[in-house]
Amino acid sequence: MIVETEQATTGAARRWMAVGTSVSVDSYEAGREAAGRALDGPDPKLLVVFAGIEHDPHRLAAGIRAAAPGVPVLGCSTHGEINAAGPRDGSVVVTALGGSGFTVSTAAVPEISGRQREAGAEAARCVAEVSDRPHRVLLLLTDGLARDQETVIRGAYGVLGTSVPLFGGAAGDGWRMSGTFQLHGTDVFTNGVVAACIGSDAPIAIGIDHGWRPSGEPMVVTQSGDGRVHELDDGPALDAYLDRLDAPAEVYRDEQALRHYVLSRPLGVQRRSGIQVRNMSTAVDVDGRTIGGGGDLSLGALAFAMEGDEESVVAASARACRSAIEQLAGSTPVGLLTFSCAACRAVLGDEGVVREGARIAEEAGSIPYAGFYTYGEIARTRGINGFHNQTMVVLAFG
Amino acid sequence: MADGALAAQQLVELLAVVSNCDDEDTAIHAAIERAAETVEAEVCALIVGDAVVDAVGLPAGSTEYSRLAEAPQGRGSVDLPGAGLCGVGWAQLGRADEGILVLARVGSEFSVAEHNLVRGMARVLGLTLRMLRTLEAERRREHLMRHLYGIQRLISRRAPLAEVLRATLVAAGDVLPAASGNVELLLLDPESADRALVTRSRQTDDGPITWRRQTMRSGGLVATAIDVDRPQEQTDDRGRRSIAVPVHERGRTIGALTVELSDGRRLGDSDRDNLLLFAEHISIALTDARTAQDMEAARHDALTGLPGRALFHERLRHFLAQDGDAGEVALLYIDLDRFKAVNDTLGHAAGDVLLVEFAQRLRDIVRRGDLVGRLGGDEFAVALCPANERYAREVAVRIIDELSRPVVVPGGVADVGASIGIALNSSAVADEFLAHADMAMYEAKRAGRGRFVVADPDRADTRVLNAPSLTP
Repeated sequence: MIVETEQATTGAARRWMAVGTSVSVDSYEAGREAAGRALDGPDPKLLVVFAGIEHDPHRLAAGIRAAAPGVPVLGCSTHGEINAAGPRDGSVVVTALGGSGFTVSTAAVPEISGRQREAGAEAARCVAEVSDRPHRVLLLLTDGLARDQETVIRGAYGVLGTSVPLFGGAAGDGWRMSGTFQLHGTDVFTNGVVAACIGSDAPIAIGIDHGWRPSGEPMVVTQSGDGRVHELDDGPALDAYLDRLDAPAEVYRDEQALRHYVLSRPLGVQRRSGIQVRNMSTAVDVDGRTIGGGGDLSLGALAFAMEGDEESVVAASARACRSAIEQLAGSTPVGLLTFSCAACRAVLGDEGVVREGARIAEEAGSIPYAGFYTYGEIARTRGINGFHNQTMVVLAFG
Repeated sequence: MADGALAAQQLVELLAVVSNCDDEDTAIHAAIERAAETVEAEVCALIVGDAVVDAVGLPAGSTEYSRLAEAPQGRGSVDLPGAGLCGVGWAQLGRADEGILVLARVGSEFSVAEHNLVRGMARVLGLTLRMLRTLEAERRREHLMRHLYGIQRLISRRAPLAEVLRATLVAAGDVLPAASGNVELLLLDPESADRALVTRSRQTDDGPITWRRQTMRSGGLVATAIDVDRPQEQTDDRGRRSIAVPVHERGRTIGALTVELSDGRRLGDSDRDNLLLFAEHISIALTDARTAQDMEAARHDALTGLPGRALFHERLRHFLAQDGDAGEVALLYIDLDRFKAVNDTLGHAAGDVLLVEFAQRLRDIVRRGDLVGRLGGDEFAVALCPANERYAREVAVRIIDELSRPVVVPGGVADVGASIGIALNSSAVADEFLAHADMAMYEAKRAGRGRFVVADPDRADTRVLNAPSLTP
């Protein structure tokens, strides 16, 4: 017994991750309970909190602090929480990272709208305090309702450079589209970015995958502006896109029907190593016939109508997990963060997400994991891009 | 997707992104990020000469970017600290002095096709920047011309000197791209033996021009520019560059126009020419103002400072024109009694002191808008408006009293008096008006001096014919 404990102390206790959850509707209790359950090891370095939008973030933060005074906290609101017990709404999931093998430094940047690049750079500066570790990652949680998230990531990249990958998600609000929250310690923000630079003795891996495939031939963007595509192949963009999919008649004019239809048919943009997926449903434009797709879709870009279903989405989630785990080359990760997309959830439906949850659990095995359904996924491992839609991103701590 | 088709499409995208930008800096940054995205590189930079104009991917101030450009034939691999082995591709934008675009991608070399794409992207960027620069130069030229026309209009309209100088300083700060906001005009203080300067502060405010006095450092930038009468440049110990260009008034170097440049900026050839142009405009304005000033001074009596005959005449005409038919102008023609005696017995110096003193006493008596002039010798005139007969008489009494008070002069005490002729609205013509007042003054003298006589309008006509001509 004693020998085992000693080994445990010198080996795995150098780095550990644990997940605690609570379904209490009292925000203070939920925070205290979930954080208490997550503190499953010595020397906790960081608590990452995912909470349903129903919760009062101030009371939630107070409850967490009561259970874990002095431990840095990062968190945000969601469109559903992910953990081994299965996907849930309105719950609180706390992930704790600890042990002498981790160093953590955090930052919070309020009011990012209108200064996204600057805000990203500001958030990334905490990386300077984690220079003692060979492996680092910047964890970012942003307000999912802020525009131009890619610019936040560019700003962060400008400070981080090639050697520090980016991982994170955009906070959700239960699909209400009225306001999300971000947590940093006991401070609550909206329209903010909260970040944690995590340094580790062991490698960190990121897996990225999505379950969408192009439907039909590509179309060329022939007119765009102000973050929207106006024309594809010289005709109104929305019509060209729906034509490509052979969409039913009512979708062309009815906003509700259109919004629902495009959720499971995102836009794809041709890039060097594949097709990048862009969510089209958040701002449909029935009158102007334009389509959204992110600010940088410029003239000449090749666009695809993409399709997928439960099977392809769930398979992609599993692949992302597997990829992250396998990149650690045989050693078992101490934990995973699994961020999926709120729009994918809409496609999967309530039963589909349970099945997705089961597949993730299967891939994770005994590895602790937690995550949430985001309004956009952040993962930069190659190139300078890092913002994704309708994609699964997985972070594995070695 | 066929490589060639994708590459062509990506060049179109880059062109669209870059040509949407309004200025060079934005275009360069957009191009660098788009180029990196296109080939999925982590690092991209635009290097011109030894300088990294803009870059993404490596820590700020990194010296590694230039290493990327050393790969021969534009392709290769480099071991970058923090990133590992990277594939590298670079290409020129156009001419050698336009710079090169370099890209580095972790763990994967650039294929021949990709290098062709890099070349294409560099060319697209080079062409777009050239176009933006031409547009920018055109815009600046137009801007400069608009400013110059404005300044020239002010000068030819004889606008107040302060306004012309302010407009020129504002224009200089606006047109010279490198000016950090510090455009100043320094003029030598004519009254100061140690050459203290009177200077103008920041030209960016909308307020009127303000001056503050400061001492000029001998051997400094401005002193040297004035002494050698040529533009001078210097860099201070904080690395800031300043330029001083001499300005002239009637050919004499009387100051300098100075510009302090923002950190690290330099003044191009056309900027230098523009600065000389602004200095020249200031010289024209100063010379013009001096000439106008001299002309104005000539119309004042040098001794007493009062308007001389010609100027008084002009202003009286102005009074009458303004008065119109109101009939509210009164004219007092004042002749000193026994002034010649003072000159003869106590000397001309004493006479001068007396005249200066009397001029001041007259100024003190009249109201702000009234006129006082010295018509010559010991003759003065006062024009009152608005005034009626009673007021004119009151003023005449006061003047006689005041001028009867003795004055201490070199050599003794002068005791003189005054005879005054008053004309009231006797004519709308200044000449005639003066003539009437003059004749009334003669009457006062004949009647015994030290008194005033009011001109009789009925008798005016016949007298005018015999009176000596009063028009200058």
